[in-house]
Amino acid sequence: KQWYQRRVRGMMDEILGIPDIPKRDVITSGVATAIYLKNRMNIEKEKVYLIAQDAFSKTLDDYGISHFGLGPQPFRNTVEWGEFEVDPSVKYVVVSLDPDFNHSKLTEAYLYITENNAEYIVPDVDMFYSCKRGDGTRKIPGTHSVQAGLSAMVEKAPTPIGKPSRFIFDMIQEEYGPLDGGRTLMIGDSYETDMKFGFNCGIATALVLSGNAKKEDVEGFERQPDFVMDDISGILD
Amino acid sequence: MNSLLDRYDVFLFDCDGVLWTGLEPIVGAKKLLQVLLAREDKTVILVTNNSTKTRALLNDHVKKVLGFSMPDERCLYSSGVACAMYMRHQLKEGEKIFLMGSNGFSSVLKECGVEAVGHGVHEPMDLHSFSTFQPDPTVKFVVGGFDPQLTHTKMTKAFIYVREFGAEYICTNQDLVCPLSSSRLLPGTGAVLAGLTAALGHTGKVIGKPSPIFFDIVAREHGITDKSRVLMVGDNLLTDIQFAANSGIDSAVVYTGVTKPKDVTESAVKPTYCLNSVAELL
Repeated sequence: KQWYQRRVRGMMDEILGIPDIPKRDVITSGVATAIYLKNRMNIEKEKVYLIAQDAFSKTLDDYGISHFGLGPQPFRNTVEWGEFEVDPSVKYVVVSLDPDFNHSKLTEAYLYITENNAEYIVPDVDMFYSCKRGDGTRKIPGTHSVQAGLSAMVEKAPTPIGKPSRFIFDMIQEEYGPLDGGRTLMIGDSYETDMKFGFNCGIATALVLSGNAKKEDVEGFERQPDFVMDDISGILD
Repeated sequence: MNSLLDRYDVFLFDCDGVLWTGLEPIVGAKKLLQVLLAREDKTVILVTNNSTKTRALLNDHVKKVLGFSMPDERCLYSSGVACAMYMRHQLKEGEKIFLMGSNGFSSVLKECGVEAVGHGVHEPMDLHSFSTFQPDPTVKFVVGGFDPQLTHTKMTKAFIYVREFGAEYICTNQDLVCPLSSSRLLPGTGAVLAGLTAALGHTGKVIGKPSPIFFDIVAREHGITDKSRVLMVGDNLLTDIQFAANSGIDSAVVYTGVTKPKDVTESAVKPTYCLNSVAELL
């Protein structure tokens, strides 16, 4: 059922040869957002305006959350915007990475937030993503670039769901019971999302250098992670 | 206030909120321009940050609203025209620019002999497709204007040109919003380009108001040498009045657009004069 969780669990099996990871043990910002919405929305009466990709929309579907806005949206001119009727049942605006994000989606999101007082939710706020390029990586703008224009235009701060916000950690504790911060370790490759998440949750932090972060970045960090290792196998050392 | 017409020879006017609101002329604007245009010793120049129209289309709008065209198209400047002129002498034979802009801006560039790539709609690309994206090596500038087709995909290509290939990034303006009506705002160029600004950590070189580069370009084309005889008239403190301050010229704010008297009191940048409307110049 949980589409993206199934994909992550599928990858664990295919790439690492570890089958049967329990569903509850894979949390994506999509799942966390769906749970956040489910706990708050009047599912019958309220709608979500979604700026994201297909996987996110499927996750919301899994949780029975009604949403719209996926896919390309043609430009609307000033006359059309003057006549645009804001559907008052749209009480939530969720903004994540969307290759189709454009002026039209930005404007529509802005109108729901300012005219409906819709809650503006950001599942993830990554400044950059990395993709492979030859032997190295290529840095490209992340989700934050989709949110920047909207955040500048609206007066209120968005609700953050994913790392580095501690919302997911609190959600995990609700499921598993309280966790001992001293015996809980966050392992990740991004200082801005993973390490700051660990700091915000009061848990131990381990940075791996096999992804986003590079060795030369480490000394410049304003706060040092508890551990720094070349890759995840360092946990066994 | 006849002394203002005597004190200055070159009058720069912002358009929306100053000479007209949408298609409605401001009362007295038509008469004022006719008086100024009739005098050989006075120059009228329109300067707008709206980069979506060519000079010819801007003049059509002037005609539609005020009933007559400007006799000399060189007296009409958009931030798009300013960008084209800025780049034109810096591009060598065969060098191009990557454009994020409107069809109007694309036409302006063509008219100026600047060759653009990337204009229009881009096929959406997911993150991993960017591994194999190969930019055009002849691109020397990335240019940002109001782009109704700017998507995350297109913006990422612009980012790669600037970050990896050292293209110079310039933009027409950074106005965050564009008032549609008294109750509804629309995202402006600043909001559209905000994602690229955040990723790069800077706005790129702003060519339009409030940048003094815009003034230099106008001054060069019109042979303006005495700044003390130039007056900028606008309705926006952050763009028009700041532009005047940055360019070392006097300014007049009018209250027929986005600024009201209390905004002037609260503003760090102050206009030289405050007028209810351009009609008071007569």
